[in-house]
Amino acid sequence: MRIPNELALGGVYMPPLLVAAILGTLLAVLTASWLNRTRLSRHFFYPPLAFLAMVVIYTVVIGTFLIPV
Amino acid sequence: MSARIREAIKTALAFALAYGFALASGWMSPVWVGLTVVVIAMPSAGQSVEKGLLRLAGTVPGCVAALVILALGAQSRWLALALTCAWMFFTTYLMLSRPSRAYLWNVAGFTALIIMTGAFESPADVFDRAQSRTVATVTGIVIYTVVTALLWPRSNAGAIRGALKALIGTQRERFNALRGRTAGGENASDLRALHLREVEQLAALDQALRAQGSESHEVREMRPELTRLRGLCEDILDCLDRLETSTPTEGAVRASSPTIDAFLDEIDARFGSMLASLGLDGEAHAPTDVSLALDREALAERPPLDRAAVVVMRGQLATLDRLTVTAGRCIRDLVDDRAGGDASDAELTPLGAATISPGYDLDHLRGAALVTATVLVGFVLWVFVNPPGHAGWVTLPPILAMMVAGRQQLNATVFIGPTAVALALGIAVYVFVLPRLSTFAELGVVLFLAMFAVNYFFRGIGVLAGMIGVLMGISIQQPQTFSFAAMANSYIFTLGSFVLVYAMSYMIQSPRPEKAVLHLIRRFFRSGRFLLASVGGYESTGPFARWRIAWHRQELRRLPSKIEAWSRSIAYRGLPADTPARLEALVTRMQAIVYRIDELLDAEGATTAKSLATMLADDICQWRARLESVLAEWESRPSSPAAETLREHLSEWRKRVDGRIEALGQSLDDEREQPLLDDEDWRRFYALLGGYRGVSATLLAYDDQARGIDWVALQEERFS
Repeated sequence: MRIPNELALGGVYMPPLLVAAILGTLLAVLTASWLNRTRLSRHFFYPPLAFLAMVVIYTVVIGTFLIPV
Repeated sequence: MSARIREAIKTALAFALAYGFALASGWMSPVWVGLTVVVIAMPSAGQSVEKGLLRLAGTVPGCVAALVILALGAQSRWLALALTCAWMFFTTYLMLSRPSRAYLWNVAGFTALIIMTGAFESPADVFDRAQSRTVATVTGIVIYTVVTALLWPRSNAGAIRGALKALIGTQRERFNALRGRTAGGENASDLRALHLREVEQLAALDQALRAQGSESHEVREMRPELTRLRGLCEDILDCLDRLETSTPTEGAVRASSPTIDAFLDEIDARFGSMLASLGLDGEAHAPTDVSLALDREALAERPPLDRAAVVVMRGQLATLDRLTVTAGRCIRDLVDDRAGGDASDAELTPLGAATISPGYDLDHLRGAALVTATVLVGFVLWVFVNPPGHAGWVTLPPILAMMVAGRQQLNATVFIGPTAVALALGIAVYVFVLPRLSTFAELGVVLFLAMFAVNYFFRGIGVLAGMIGVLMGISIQQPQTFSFAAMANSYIFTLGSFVLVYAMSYMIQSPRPEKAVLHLIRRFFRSGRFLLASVGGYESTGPFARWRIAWHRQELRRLPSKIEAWSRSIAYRGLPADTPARLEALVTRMQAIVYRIDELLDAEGATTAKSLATMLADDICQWRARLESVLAEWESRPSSPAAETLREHLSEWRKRVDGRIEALGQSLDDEREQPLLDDEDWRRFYALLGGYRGVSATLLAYDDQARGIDWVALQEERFS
C-alpha cells in the first residue's frame, strides 16, 4: 500500500488532500464557467449539487493519478 | 490633500493609537479596540458617534445574553446551543426589521457568540471577558471620536436643511413634470429618473436626521417635528407615485374640473413657499383654500368608467392638497423654532395603511433562519469534526451569515476575493515583518500603513473585507507569539467560513438573483390574487382573516422594492441586452398594480353604496373572477399570456357596465329631486368602479411590459 507523502513547499508541509482539493475546486470552477458560456448548464436539474459532484470527482482523480493522497 | 487621503489617515492613525493604548494597558486582546475603530470609521463625526453609540448599546445586551446562556447551559451543550440559536434568531430578525437600529442588534448577536466561545479556565473568566470587551468598545469609540474631532473634523451641520431642500425641490420638479404629462409633455424615462432621485434623497434625509441628531442638541429637541415632516415627505412621494400611475382618460380631469389650473398653481406655489422657508430663492406664500370644482355637466357626458377614473384622481389630488398644507406649516414651525405644530392638524394616516399591523416579514424570517442554521452547523462541525478554526466555526460563519442576511442579494463569494488578498498580505506582514519589530513605534507605523493602504486602495465592500483581513492577518496578542501553522490554519478557516455561508444560503432559497426575482414575482401575484378574492367580504370576516388581508397588503407593498434590489444583482451575460431596463420598467408596473389594488380595497372598505354595488354585482363579480384568474396564471407561470382574455373582453365589459350604470342612473334620477352627482354614495360607487378599472388597466400595462422579457433565459439553470 502506497503511503501518502506530505508536500513540502518552501519548508512548509502541506497535506496532499488539501492540495488535491484546492486543485479539484479550481478545475470545477473552470468547468462551471465553460458550461455557463456554452449554455450546457441548462441541462442540469440542480447546478449547485452538480458543482459539488464535480469538485469531488476532480479531487478523487487528482488524488489518484497526480498527487497521491 | 483629497478627502479620501484625509479619511484614510484619520482611520489609520486612530487604529494605531487604539492598539498602542491597548498594548500599553496590558490588554490580552487588543484586536477588539482595533475592530471598534475600523467599524465606526464613517465619513462624518455625527455618523461615527451614532454608530459608536449603537455599538456600545448592542455590546451590553450581547454580554448579558452570553452570561445568561452560559449560566443556564454550562452543563448541557445542547441547551446552550438551543439558547444561542434562539438569541441569534431574535437579534437577526430585529436587525432586519428595524433598519434604524440594525447595527445595534447585529452587535448584540455576534458579541454573545464571541464571549461564549472564548477559552475559559473558570466561570470568572466569562465575566472578565464580557467586561473587557465593553471597555475595549468604549475605548475604541473615544479614541476615534477624539482623532476625528481634532484632525480635519467633518460635521453634518446643515445636513438636514440641505437634504430637505433637495428633496422638496425634486418633489416640486416631479409634480410639475406630472402636470406637464397631463398636457402631453414629459416622457416616462424623465419621470422615472425623478422618482429614483426622490427616493435617494428621502434616504439621504433619513441619514442626515440620524447623523446631525447625534451632533446637535437643537436637532435632538426638534426630533418629533422632524420625524413628522419626514413622514409627510414620504407621503407626498407616495401620493406622487399614485398620480404618476393613474390612468384617467386623456383630458377627462381637465375637462370636468374648470379650476384645475388654479388648483395646480396653488400646489406649485406651496412647494415654492416651502423652499423659500428653507432659505432658497422664492416667495413666501400663505396656503389658500382652492377647491377642485366639478363641472357636472361635462362629467356627466363622459362614460361612467371615465367618471370613475376622474373620481379616483380627484381623491389623490385632495390628498396632495392636505399634505402640502401640513408640510408647509410644519416647515414654518421648525424654521421659526415652534414645537408642537397646529393642534387642528388632523393626523394624516399613511396612504393605503391597513388597520391591523401584520407583524412579520417572510424574508426577514428567512434571513434569521439562515443565521440560526449557520450557528447550528458551525457548532456541529466544531464538536464532531473539529477542523482548523475550532470554536471559531461558531463565531465567524454566523457573523458572515448576518452580513449576508442583511443583504441577501450580495453573493457571499463577492467577499472572498478581497478577503483572500487582504488576509494573504496580512499574513505576509505577520511572517516577514512583525518578528523584526521591537518597539511600538515601529509596530504603529506598520499598522498605520496597512490600514491606510486598505482604506485608500480598496473600494466599496472591499474596504470592509480588507480591514477584516488586516485585523486577522496581523494578529497582535499579549504576549506576542509567532506561529505560521496557526496563521495558515486561520487562512483556511476564514476562506472555509465563506464557503460554508455560501452553501448555507442555498438551504433557505437559491441565492441566484434570477431565481429570487421569479420567486418574488410569484409571491406578488399570489398576494394580489388573495386580496382580489377578499374584496367584498372584508366586513364579514373574523380577526384572523383580517390579519391575513393586512399581511398580504404588506407583502404586496414591499415586494416591488425587493424585486428591484434583486434584479440589480443579476449578471446579464447571456440575456438580451435590454433586460435590465425591461425589468426596471416591469417593477414600475408592479408598483402601479399595488396602488390600484390598495385603492380598490380602500374603496370597498369605505363604500356605503351597497345597493348600487349589488345592482351590478354580477358584472363586478364576473370581472373580478377574470382578474383573479389572470393573477393565478401569472403566479404559476410569469410568462403566461393570460392577459389576452382580459384584453379581449375589456371593451365589451366596459360597454355593458357603462350601459347598465346609465340605465340605473336614469331610473334613480326619476325618483330623486337632487342631481345624481351630489350623492356621496355615487362618489363612493365610482371610486369602487374606478378601482376595478385601475386594476384592469395596470394588469394590461404589466402584460405589455412582460411580453418583452425573455422569461425562458431568466428561468434557465446555470452555475452561479
